[in-house]
Amino acid sequence: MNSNNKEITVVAFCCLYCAYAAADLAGSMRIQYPANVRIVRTPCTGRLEVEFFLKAFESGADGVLVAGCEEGSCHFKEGNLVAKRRVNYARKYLQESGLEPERLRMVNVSSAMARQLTDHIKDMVETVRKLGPSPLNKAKRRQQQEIKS
Amino acid sequence: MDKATDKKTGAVLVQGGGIAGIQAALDLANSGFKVYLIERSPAIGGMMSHLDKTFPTGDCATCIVSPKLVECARNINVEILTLSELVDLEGQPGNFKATVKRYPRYVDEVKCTACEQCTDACPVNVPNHFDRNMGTRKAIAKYYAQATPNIFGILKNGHAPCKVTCPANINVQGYIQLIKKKEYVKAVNLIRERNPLSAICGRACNHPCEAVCTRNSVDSPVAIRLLKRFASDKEMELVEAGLISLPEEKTPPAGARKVGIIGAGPAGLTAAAALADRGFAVTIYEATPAAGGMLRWGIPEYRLPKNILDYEVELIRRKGVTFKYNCNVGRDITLEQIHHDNEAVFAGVGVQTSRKLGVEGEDKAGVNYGVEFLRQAGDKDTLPEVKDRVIVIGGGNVAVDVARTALRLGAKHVDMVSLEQRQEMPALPEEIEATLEEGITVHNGWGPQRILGNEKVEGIEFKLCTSVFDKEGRFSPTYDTCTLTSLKADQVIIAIGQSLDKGFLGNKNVALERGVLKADPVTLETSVKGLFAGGDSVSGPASIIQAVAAGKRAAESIERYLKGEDMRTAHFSDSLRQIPEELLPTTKDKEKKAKAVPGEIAVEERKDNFKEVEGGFSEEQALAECDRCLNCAMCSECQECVAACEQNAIDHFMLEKTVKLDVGSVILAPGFEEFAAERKGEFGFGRYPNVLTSVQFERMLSASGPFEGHVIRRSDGEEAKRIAWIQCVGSRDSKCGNDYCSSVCCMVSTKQALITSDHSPDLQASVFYMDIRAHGKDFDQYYERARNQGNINYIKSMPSRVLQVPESKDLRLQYYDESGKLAEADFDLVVLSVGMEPGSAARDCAKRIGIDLNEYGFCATDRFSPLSTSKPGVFVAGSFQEPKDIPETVTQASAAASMSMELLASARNSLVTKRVYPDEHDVTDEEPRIGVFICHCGKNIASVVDVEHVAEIAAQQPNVIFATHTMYTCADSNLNNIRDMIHEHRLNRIVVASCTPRTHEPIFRDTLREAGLNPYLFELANIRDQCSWVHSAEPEKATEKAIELMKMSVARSRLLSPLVGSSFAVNQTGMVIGGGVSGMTAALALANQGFKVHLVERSERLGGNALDLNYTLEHDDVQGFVSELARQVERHGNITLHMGTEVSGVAGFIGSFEVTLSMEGLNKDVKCGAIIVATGAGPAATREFLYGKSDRVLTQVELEKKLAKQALPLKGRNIVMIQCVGSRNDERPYCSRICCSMAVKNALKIKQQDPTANIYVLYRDIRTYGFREKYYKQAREAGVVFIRYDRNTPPVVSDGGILTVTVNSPDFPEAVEIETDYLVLSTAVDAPKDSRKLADLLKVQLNADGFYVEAHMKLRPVDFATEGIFLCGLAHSPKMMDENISQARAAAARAATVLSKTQLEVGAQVSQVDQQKCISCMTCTKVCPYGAPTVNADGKAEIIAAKCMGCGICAAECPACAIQLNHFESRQFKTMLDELFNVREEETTKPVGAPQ
Repeated sequence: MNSNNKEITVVAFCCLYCAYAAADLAGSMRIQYPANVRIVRTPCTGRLEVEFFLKAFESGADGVLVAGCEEGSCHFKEGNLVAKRRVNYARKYLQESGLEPERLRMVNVSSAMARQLTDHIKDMVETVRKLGPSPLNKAKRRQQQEIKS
Repeated sequence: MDKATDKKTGAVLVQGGGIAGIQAALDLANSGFKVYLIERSPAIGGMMSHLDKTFPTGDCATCIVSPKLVECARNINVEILTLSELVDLEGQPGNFKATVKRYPRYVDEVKCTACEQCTDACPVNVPNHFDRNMGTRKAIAKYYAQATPNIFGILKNGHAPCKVTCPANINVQGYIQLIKKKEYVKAVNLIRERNPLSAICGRACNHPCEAVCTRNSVDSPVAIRLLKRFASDKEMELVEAGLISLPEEKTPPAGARKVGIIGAGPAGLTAAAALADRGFAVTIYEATPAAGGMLRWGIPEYRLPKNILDYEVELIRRKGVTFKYNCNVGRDITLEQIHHDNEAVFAGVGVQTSRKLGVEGEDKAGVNYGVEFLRQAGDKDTLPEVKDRVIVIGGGNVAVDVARTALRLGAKHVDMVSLEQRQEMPALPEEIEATLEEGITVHNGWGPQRILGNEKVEGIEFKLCTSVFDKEGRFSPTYDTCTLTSLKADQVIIAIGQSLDKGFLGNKNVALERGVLKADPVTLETSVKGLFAGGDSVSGPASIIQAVAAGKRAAESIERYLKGEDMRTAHFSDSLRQIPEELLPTTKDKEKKAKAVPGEIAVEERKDNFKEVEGGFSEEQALAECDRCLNCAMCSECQECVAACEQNAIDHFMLEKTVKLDVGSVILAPGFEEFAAERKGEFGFGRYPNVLTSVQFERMLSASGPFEGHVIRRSDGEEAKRIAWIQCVGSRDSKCGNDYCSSVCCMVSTKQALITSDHSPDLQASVFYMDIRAHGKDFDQYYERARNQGNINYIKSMPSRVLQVPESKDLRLQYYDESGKLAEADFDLVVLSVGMEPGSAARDCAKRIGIDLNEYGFCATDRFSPLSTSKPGVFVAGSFQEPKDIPETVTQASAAASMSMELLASARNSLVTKRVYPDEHDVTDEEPRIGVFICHCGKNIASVVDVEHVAEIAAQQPNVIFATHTMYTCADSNLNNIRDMIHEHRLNRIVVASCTPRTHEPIFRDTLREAGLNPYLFELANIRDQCSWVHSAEPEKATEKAIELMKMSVARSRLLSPLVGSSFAVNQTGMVIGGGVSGMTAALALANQGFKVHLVERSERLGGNALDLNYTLEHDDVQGFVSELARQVERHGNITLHMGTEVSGVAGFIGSFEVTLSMEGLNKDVKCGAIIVATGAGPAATREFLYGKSDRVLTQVELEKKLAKQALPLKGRNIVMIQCVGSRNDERPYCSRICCSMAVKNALKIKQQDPTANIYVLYRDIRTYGFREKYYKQAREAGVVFIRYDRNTPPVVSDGGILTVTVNSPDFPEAVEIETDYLVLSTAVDAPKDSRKLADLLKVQLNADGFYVEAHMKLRPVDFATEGIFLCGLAHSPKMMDENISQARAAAARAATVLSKTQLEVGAQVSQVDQQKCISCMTCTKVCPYGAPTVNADGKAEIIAAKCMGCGICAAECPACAIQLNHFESRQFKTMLDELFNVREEETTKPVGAPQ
């Protein structure tokens, strides 16, 4: 199997008020999207620490999607703007560490935008597929295999 | 406050579950009142739930309204009654008895788990009203995706014409829908519920249903009979193929009561089948050797093959019916004997004796009779002799059958002669057609005169029949005996009807009527007790289906008779309710589709044999035919949902109910109905697919709407790029009786154009308008943005009509442009910006309970008491009072709540309930003991995810003590099970893997509390909405994902801590800052509820701006009102006045503020629990237009003062008013809202004082919104001249001794010059320049214009983002007196939700600072949007729980990691990530596979 075809995993942090609700609506509308995504709910994207993103990659995530409310519509006024700043910071950090910054992305959707959210998810999975599994992930696999053998 | 002498009821009924009703309900419930929220539709949410975005902030409407819906549903003191309506109100204010009608939902609200399986099973697609009939929904469905309550419901509007018309009332729509689903066996079973002769009637029924099919108005009826045949044939095919077996043979239960049936014709067979099904022992006595009666002996085989008949008789026999053949009653057994052997008897003997012609020569050889002829022909052993030339007399189906049979038995030439003209013939048209095709000649309009010949028949002489029926339509032929003709024949067969053979009656004395048995039309009982009769023997010759119906009715009666019940209780057929005409589906927009035509054998192949002539439908034909059904009744009652619902929640027989409620007051918030655009026929709505209403367009824009947010042409699905909006459709229009302005449509269109433009940048939008009314807060800036964008074109015009270009389906809009010339332009879509009307249901309700309506049908109110209806104790809020936008609606809702609170203050807290839970079990020192419950959600999860496997893996996780999978984890019994398992296994963490926490977390948390566990020890994994539903094609991957999600939740649950919110004492005193009308109103509203209030006023006089006003547009006396208000404030025992006082310091938080007041340098501290800011605004100073330089230039306020004193000479004078002086410019980009109405008010006053005065109003847009429009119209009618000017070319004023105003109007070709005596300036409303000081003290925001910023523009219009502080009046934005009054009351109601509590609960999900780790950097105080972190005495950060909203921004930002957000701690996030990626490396115990 070509390494590019290996199943990849995307962690999606979704804020409860908009993106998580949009993901639920995608369910009600039966919109199908790749099963590679694991949604983690957060009260607000403003709760997400830079460390969470790095932790996700360190643990083995191939991509991280941060999905918050539309700009100007944050339930907590400006949490999504704070998150945007942190995501941008983390992307720079990833780049400096030699990981493609495209693996981390922030998107904004309202709770009615199920189709848009799933489009974002598909696009993210596609992007990460093209990049291939995260090198951190590969390293981890090898490491664990060595331990096992 | 007055001590209430009599006890009041502490409950309020709120009619209308839109945003107004929701807000009123929440305010009341949160301040100590029980609320009944009554909503007519199946879910609350109202118009807001239909919207895509809101203006001017662009918030997603769903996002902002959904939390409100959930809050309402969760509030234990709000009882939501959907599908309900207030029908009567008795009693007096404080003690009403309300009668509420509850319409059936057909789904048990308690049992329904919203699993959707019913919707999946439902075959019926009906237009989706929620999407304004764009797209379809299932007949059983949730009203909309986020619907609250989260319950399904069935749409029914009566019984379809086909069902009602069918004598046996077969559920036609139901079986057609089942055929559509390819559920052929179920379809036939549904038919057989009403008619056991499905395959037979599929061939030989005269199908009266088809004549009434609604589809007739589109093209031709649905081929109902042939679909019945198709389904029946399919069933037989399956039996033949051995894929299904015949039902088991039954015998009657022991001791079954006996019923005898005489005659195995359609009536007898039907009665037998029905009675056997009901457990009776049935014996049929049949004179001939086989069953079927006329079906066997009357209908020729080429129409009804005998094997079909035998098949259905066999099915009936297998029900346990005993057939006694060759048993002629009257000859072989007596009726007495049968009646003796059986407890009840049904006679379905039919009519067997052919009628005679009674003409000369009828006794000749060669004369035969139809029934006898067919009977012989029906048996191979007794085939009748047939001669070469045969004449058949008669025009009915029997005659046709005889003629065609004679042909098949060898006749060379067959003539049919009937009295009736072709179109009057009783035979079915298709039968006559087939007869003619086979070469039989039909002679119409002749009656036999005599039969010719000697011994044998040689021919017949006929006389001309001039008419067959009399005026009443009765059979009464008349002849012209002078016009004779004759036909030659060797044989004559007479088929003109049959009569009853009374032989079976023997000695029994049974009453007859007109030669047939007499039976009660309802019960079918004859004159002999226990003897029932039906079918042809009672009705005379009729159809098969009528006989079936009689059999069915008789069976119903017999069962009741034997059980001793009232036989006259409505029989099934008598209980049907035909759909009212207006509820039938619309047919004008339906596409024509040809009715399917079945195959048939060619004439040559069939003429000499008895092969079945007609072929059935192919499957493809049948399915296409099913699609032609219009589903008239909505729900087809096919029962598929009943079978699919594992909760047994569906009840198709649910009935309407009436409930009585004791309430102290009522709030009417029924909302509006959009104007029916069909009424403006010139715009083509309903005829052209690309003409939409603005509500439809809203659904089109919505991402969750029928087009998922794609803006398309409905004619071809192409993206719409040229869109026109037509404003004022149904508003400002005397022709449709709506002289008012609907207030919001200009902004709606602006919003829609902007949002569409965001989606597709190459949009070309055109808004055709009269005036753009952007009078709300920040609206004008929004409008300017749209105007300046370049692709949104505002065209001042009068649209005249819309035409459709035939080929392209483009829309051609014709309009009169601003110069009055007719112009036209083509568009892809035209959106009609429809106005608001009071709904008919709301008006009816108001009338029933005695509420006055205004001239337009809205609730009548006055400007000083905008919330009071004409009936004391009944209040109004929202658009039923006057068309208005969401913020004003929400404001009025809170304000109406304050009216109720004031009335019922003495009963506060008397009817509210609080849930009581057992003491919480302390788990702090325990190891996690986790219980995991994996939900099937019926098939929703289990059909995709291998739930058993997920549960197995769950059981292997560390700390998991118990793991299981359940059908519906949220069903009551399973919640009980969770409680039991908690006790049995001493569980201290619960993980449920099911649906979404957004709807179900509260339910499970509650279960934990009931079991004595802290609710925060619960965790939910979303394996339905975010797994099985979205990966249904990949079961392996979905299962793998579900396992991972479950493991992540289990991991997280180990780190969950019990959390307890804190509570603190509330200071139940309020403070109002500002003593104008708003401040005084707010203070009184609180004081009248019994709260102490401090009213702080900077000046020495109460009244504010209102002191400068004299009258309103509606001529009310402002000064009288203000002085009365001030008098009440000054005398109120609960109000402490602080005049000449300013606020100089604010400390504390919600429930516990400490405010420093300064008066002449002296400070004093006042404690309070809530603060209302009502500091007002004032007129802007101006230097424009020679103001201050000429004493003939004055402001509107100055003019009003002079007019009030009648101190201005007006006779023949010219007066020019200039609008927007200081408003809508760069300095003040906002509209001051009040000035247009003020100008109109003063202009009317001038005209009233002296009609000779000439008034010119120079304006940009006239914004007399709502009912103020009427006065604008009055002013125009009174001769006031309105001249428009453009912002870029303002009027020029010169004073060369004569004051001259020059204006360049786009509406006139040349500049207009007016010499004027007075120039009146409509100056702006200006925010006080010193607002900043108070804003900083209160830590609240000001906008760029200096007005205070509310917490949320739409849904929290009088709250500040800082909890416990509220705002109202001009301090918020410019507005009218009535709006200020509403806002002030709203602020009071919001404050009362705080002040009514002695203790305030603070949520547990708040941030906490680890004092050891805090490095005192104070980053948290900078990032928190709510000012929750403060610096404590040690210089460390500390979170004020009462201010914390739980977003966690501070926790994520803290550089020392000293802050944690409870329940969303960093370690809890991280452990989920760890678990997720460890999972991958582990070997699961069994290969993950798809479930069975």
